[in-house]
Amino acid sequence: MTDTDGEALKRRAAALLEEDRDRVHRRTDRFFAALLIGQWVCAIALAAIYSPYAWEGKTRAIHVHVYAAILLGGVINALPIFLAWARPGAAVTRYVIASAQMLWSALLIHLMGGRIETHFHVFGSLAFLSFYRDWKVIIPATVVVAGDHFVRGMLWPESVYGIANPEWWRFLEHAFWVVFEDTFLLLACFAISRDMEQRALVQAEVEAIGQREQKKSAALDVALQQLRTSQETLVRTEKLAAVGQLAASVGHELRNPLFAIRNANTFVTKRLDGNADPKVTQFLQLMERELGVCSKIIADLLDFARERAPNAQPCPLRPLVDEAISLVPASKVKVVNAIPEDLPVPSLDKDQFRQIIINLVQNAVEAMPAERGGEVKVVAEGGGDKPWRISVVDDGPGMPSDVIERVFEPLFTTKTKGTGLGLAIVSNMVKAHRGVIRVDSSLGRGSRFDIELPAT
Amino acid sequence: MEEAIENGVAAPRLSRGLVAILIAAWMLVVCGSFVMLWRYKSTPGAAGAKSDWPHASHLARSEDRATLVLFAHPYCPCTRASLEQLSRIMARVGGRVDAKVLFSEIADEDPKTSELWKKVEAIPGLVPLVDRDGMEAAAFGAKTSGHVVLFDRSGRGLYSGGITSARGHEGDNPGAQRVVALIATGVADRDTAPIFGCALKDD
Repeated sequence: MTDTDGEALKRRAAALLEEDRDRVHRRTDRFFAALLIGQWVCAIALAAIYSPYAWEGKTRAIHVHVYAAILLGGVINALPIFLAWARPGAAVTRYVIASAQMLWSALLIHLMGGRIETHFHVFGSLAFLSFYRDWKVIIPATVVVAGDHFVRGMLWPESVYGIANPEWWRFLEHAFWVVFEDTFLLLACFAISRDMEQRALVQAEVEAIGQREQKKSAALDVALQQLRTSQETLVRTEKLAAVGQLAASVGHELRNPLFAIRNANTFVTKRLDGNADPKVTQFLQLMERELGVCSKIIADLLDFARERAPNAQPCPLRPLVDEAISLVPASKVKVVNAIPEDLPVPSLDKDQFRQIIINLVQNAVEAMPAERGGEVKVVAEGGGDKPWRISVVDDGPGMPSDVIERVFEPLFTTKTKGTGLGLAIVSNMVKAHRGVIRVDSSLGRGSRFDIELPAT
Repeated sequence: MEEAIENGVAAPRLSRGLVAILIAAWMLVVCGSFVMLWRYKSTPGAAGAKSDWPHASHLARSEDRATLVLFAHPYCPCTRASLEQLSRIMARVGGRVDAKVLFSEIADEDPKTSELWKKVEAIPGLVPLVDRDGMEAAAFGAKTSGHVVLFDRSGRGLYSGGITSARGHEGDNPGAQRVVALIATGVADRDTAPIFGCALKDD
């Protein structure tokens, strides 16, 4: 465990201790509020039963004890019960409660005619106050008892000591027995407090261990997820490699027959030269178009399967982009080459990068809704110490997040007529240039493909 | 004074100053109330002066030991403490004194049915009696419940006063100590003490 961990543990233990103490204080406040009310009710009942009337011959009147029980008892209770409700758990609340509890001892002793048995209320109350587990609470309680004895000892000594002229230190003797009990209560409070501290520390340690285990578990989950993803990627890559080899083999085998068919088709078209039935001419044009699609599919398959290492050479970007744009079939979409004239010349594989630009631009153009035009812009920056950034930006419909996640996956396509290899080829070629490609797109706001290449 | 929610009920948020003022006011009212209670409890009733055995009395006086008479109102709660003190006196010097408790008559109520009468009956050596029309109280000059008069075997007055320290307050006190001393030795520092109890008769 580091010093920082140790400090954090101590802070957590202190917070837990504080919470525990607050809970105990609030609970004990409620307990004493109930006890104070109970004592009040008992005192009224006691006065009403024990000394209901004061007599003057045959005339009777409600005894002062009854009024004292109702009014003085009510006054004693008013503030502590109010504070127990308004400021539960506060130190001042328990000090006032402690004082009130000891004042109840004095009142009950009065109401019970000074019976010696009632004096045990003092010692019982002190014991109850230790429920707070706060040694400081014992102090105001003791001060009230000692103060009561001191003042009454001065003004009305018989009521306390039973003699008219006691020694000046007699109140100390009474206070001593209270302090005698206090000593054990204080020791008990300290012991309980130490136990609470120890418990808070143990709880903090348990929490810390739990958190560490949780972190380990989370890391393990992440590792497992990565492993699972890697396994899936590996399986997919192996499958793709197998499919790629097969596709390359098939494509290679199909290329020559296709070439022959196209030549034958061209020859037949030229020989007929407009003299054939219009239906025949229409079918010949259809054959030529579909043969072109087949050639494109085979070319894509072969490009994806080959993964040729780039042959990097200085290659001006602007003319390369112009060339690529010229190879994209014309449409309503405006394609803009916004690469600065004075952009430094990067070093890259011209053929591969032409293919990259063609694929990205064509992808953007095909994504545009047929009913409206749009704009696709190719921009670039970098050179010198700065890395290269070539971006293809369109104002098309954009892509949802689930499409963005899979957009570079081989064979993934959202088009009705697509191989799903165009962007996968782009991604492979960019990686071969030690670059990265990112896509930023949102529905209705277009898409942006950024290729970043290291500075040359 | 803002409000905060505590236990689902809006509780006022008190400033320290306000709490200090509340505590000060509370202590003032509580202390004032206790002082008033003490003053009530320590205010003695009317007392008669010590005298020798009155000729007008029809009570039998002991010739071989001291005679003690306590006058009691049958329903005075303060007199419960006086009887408790008398019980303690009897426990210490009961064999040397002939003690009687005279209960005054209150309208149609029979003093013999009162709790205090039964308490006296339960104390060994004490004899409860009814003071018809308050004649004995008048003869002995007793006006307050709890008034004790003590005489030697010759009828000489030794003590006239109370035996509690306050109204209805049990516990050792100078009056009880003097009565014990006078019965035991015939000597005490004083021959009286304040009497705390209800008036035996209407003014």
